[in-house]
Amino acid sequence: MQTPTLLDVILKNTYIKSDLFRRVGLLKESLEHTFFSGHPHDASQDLFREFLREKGVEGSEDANMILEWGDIAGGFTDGNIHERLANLDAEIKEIPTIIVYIPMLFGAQEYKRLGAWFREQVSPRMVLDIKIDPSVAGGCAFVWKGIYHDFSFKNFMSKHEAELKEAIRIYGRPS
Amino acid sequence: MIPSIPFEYIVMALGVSLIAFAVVLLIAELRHGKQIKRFALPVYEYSLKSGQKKAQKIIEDATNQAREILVAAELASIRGTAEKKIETKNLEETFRQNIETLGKETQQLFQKYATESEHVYGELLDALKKQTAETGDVIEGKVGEAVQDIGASLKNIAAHAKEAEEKFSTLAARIEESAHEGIRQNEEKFALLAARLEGSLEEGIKQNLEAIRGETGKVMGDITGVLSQMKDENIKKIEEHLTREFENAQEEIRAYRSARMNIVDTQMVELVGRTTEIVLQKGVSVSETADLAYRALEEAKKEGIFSR
Repeated sequence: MQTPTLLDVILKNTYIKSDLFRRVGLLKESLEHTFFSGHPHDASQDLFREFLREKGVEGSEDANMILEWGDIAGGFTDGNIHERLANLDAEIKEIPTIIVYIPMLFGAQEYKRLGAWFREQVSPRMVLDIKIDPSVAGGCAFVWKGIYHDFSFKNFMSKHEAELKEAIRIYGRPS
Repeated sequence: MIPSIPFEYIVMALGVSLIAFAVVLLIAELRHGKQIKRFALPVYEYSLKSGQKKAQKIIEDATNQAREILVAAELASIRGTAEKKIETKNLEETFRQNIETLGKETQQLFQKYATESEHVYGELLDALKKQTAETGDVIEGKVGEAVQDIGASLKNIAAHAKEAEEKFSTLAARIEESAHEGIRQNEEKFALLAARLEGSLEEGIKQNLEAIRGETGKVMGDITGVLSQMKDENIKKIEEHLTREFENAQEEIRAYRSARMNIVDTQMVELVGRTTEIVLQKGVSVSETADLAYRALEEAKKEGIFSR
C-alpha cells in the first residue's frame, strides 16, 4: 500500500478548494515560523498549537482540521521545507477540481457532507470550488469536465415547463 | 322636275334605315359591353344596371322612332287618301260635265238635224206642191202618197232618232253609273290598299320593333349572362378569398392566442419560479437547502452525468 502523501493527509478532512488553500497557507506559515523565527526545529503539534494560538485562530474550524492532520510536519527540515512545499503546491495544482454552485453559504458540516458525497460518488481525490449563486435555489449546479450542469429548481421548471403550464391551466378548474 | 318616289319605297327606306340604326346601336352596345366586360370586374353591378338602362333607352328610342314613323306614315296615308278622294271627285265632276256636254251637244245635234230635216221637208213639200200644181192633179195623188211616205219615213227617222237619243241617254247613264261604280270600286280598292299598306307598314314596324327587341333582348341576355357569369365568378372568388382570409385570420388568431397564452404561461411559470426561488432562498434553512442540493446531485448521478 502506497504511503499517503502530505496532500492525501490534508484532503482527508478538506473538501473545499478555498479551505485547502487557506489551511495549506496556515501550514506553510506555521512551518516557516517554526524553522525561520528562532524557534527550536521541532515541528510538533505543540508548536502548531502555539502558532495557531499566536495567530489567533486557535479553536477555529481550520485550526481543528489542521490539528486533525496529526504530526505531518515531522519530515520537514529547514533544508527541505521549500522543496516539499513546492511539491505540495504542484500537487495541489494537479488535483481535480469540481466547481459547484450552491444558492447560499453552507456550514462546515454541509461542506463536509457535500465533499464526502463527491469523493464517494465521483472521485476520491478531488476538491470542490464552491461558488454562491442564488439562482440555483432548490438544488445546485456544477461544472463537470468543462460542461455546466444545472440542477436547480429553475432548471427543473424549464425542463418541465409544459407540465407546469398544464398544471397552471387546469388549476382551479373542476376536475 | 323631281320624279315622285312611291310611298312604299319611302316606308321601306325608313324601315331599312331604322334597322341599320338599330344594328349600329347594337354594335356600339356590344363594344360597350366588351369594354364593360374588360373593366366591369370590380363594378359589375354598376355595369349591369348601366347596361340595362342603356338597353332600355335604346328600346325606348327605337319605339319612339317607330311610333314617329308610324304616325308620319298614317298622316301620309290620310293625306294621300284625301288627295286621291279629291282627285277622284274632280275626275267624277269632269266626267259628269263631259257627259252632260256630250248629251247637250247630241241633243242639239238631233234638234238641228230634226230642224234641218223639217226645213228640208218643208222646202221639198213646197217644191212638190209647186211642181204638183204645175204638173197637174194626176200626179198629185202619187206625190201625195210619196210625200206621205216621206213624212212617215221622216217620222220613222225622228222616232229612231228619239229612240237613239233615249238609248244614248240610257247608255250615258250606264256609262255614268259605270264610271261611278268604277270610281267607287277604285276608292274601295284604294282604301283597301291604303288599309293594307297601313297594316303592312304597321306589321313591318311591329316586326322591326320585335326584331330589335328580340336582338336587343338577345344581346342583353348575352350581356346579362356574361355579367352574371362574371358576377358568379367574382362572388366565388370573393367567397374563396374571404374564406381563405377568414381561415388565415382564425389561424393567426389561434397562433396569436397560443403565443399570448404561452407568454402568459411563461410569465406565470417565471413568476412561480421566482416566487419559489424567493421562498427557497429566504424561507428554507441551510440544511434543507443542502438536502435539496444533495437530491439534485443524486438526480445528476442517476442521469449518468458523472460517468460520461
